[in-house]
Amino acid sequence: MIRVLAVDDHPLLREGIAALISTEEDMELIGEASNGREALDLFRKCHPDVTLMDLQMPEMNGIDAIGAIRSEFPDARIIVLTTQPGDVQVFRALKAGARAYLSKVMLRKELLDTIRAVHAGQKRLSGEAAAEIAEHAADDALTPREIDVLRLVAVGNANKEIGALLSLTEVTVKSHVKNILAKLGANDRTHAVTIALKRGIIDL
Amino acid sequence: MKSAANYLAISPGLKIAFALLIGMILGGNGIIIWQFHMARVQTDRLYGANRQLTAVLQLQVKLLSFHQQLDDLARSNDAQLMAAGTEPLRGALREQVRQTAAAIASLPPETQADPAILPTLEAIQVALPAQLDAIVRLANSGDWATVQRRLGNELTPIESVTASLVESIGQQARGELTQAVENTSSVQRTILMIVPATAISTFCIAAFLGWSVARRMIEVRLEERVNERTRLARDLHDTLLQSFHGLMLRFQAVSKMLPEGKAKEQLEKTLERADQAIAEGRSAVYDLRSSTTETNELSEALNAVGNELSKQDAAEFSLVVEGAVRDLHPIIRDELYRIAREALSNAFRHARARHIETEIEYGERAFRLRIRDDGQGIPADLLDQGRPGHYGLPGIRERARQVGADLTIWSRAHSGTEIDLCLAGSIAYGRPPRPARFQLFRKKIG
Repeated sequence: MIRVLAVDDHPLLREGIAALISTEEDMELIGEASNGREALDLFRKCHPDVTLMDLQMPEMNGIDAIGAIRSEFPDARIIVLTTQPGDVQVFRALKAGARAYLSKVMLRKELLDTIRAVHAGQKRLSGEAAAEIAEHAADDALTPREIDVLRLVAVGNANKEIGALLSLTEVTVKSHVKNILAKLGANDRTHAVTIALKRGIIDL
Repeated sequence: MKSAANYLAISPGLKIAFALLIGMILGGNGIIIWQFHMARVQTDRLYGANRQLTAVLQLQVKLLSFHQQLDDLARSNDAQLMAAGTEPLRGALREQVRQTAAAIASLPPETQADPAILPTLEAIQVALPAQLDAIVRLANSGDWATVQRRLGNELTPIESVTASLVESIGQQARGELTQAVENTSSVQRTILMIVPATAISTFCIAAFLGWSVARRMIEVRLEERVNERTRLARDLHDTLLQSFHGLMLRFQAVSKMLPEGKAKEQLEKTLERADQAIAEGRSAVYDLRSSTTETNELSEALNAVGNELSKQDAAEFSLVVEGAVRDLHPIIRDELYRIAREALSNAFRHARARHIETEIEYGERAFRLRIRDDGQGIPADLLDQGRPGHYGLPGIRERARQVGADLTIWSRAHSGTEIDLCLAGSIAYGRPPRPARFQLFRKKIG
């Protein structure tokens, strides 16, 4: 029997997972959590075989939760679920210790197989995610500071405002933006935002 | 999170204009009120001088009539008559002196009483009753010659003092009058200058203020729409899409429970279609979000539209871009695109033109979009009313109005149509720099 823990902040999605898992003889849903903190508590209590983890959640997000769980239980088997594909997102999740990555669009067809595969000790990556990672494997990653700057660009701030918000000079912000454009291969700052949204560097 | 600060983000120009407006209104009115006050002070002084003059003149008249009556009594050579006649005269004179003194005392504070008045009045008050007594005594003793002489010698100096007093006070009053006339005309001149000057500058500043406020309102509205789209996209993504994913899993569970057969087959097909629908929905949500950030060159988009339309039409399409291409505000870009697409499809569908031309001008101060054809023109009644469903003219006008653009549609039968849209650069190219001090505020709440 594969014991599964579902972590997602949307009740309807958790219900769906529960419904689908209940049709299978060889697995059962032993717990549901709506954020990373609850997930960690439940994990300590139930020691699930496989954990399904959403990434965008309030309080403690999925990446942090994976890190926290893996630091206590290094052999925890975690499958990441997300609506937002993008190589950076996938890469971060894998780096934190996730064993598989599932886009929610593919959930219906691939969830059960993926649970079994991960339980058997395999790693799984959907074709879409693998392609994304391959495409940008050789790219320079953005630094955390550059991501901060990009986040502020995305909500429509000018360089001067970003400087004030991050306590940087306007010149520094400008050079950050220049590096961001170069690293993402963007034509201008708005193009950079679009790319960053698509690749999961920043959230919607 | 930003919008609260944005409402307060009034440009410095606007603040200065507002302060100037208040300053002009207060200052202009203040000067006018001050001028009226000056005129009032002058009028008071003139009034005081006239009252003084009137009082002294009355005294003089009374003195003369007093002298005349005494002369008449003296000429009668009747001591009894004289004694009886002097009593009412004495009373009347005393009353007159008292009235004059009261009139002088009640002058307005700005009016300087003539310094000779009070001593003169005192002299009259002291000297005249004594003179009267002496004269009556002389008359009783029958010395009429001395009575006549005394009347001539003693009363005349008093009269001449009063006369000179009248003269000097009269002069003072005339002086005040001249000055009052002068001052009044100067006040009049000042007011005639100040009132139109204040009115004109107030009007200009108010007009500028109104214009700025209108522009700011458009900017705020655009910002709101961007925020609204972002919020909408996030909401759809976070709630509706997630719910759909959840429901899909439940359907899948149901499908697994169904025995093989027609029902299961149908459900599987339906689920496939639903997958597609969700994928479309998801990409629509992403478009909604990225349309608020993505640069999408207007000329490229319009070129594509024009080329597409010209494939099925005889008309030749061309597009010209003038000036350095600049990023347009995303909402503006979308609206302009829709206006242009509507106008182009009108031209291709209805104009029977040979050439259809689009011109985009990225000016420093203004953005301009012109679409013209050499076709048969839009019938005048349609141009005026723009029946719904025809030519989409009301839609074009409405969109132009919403983004604050000036729109001119020119058309004449058989000589073509031109749609000319002009938009202030500050609106077209996005927000103006905001005052720095709101950044602190935003840092706290951001």
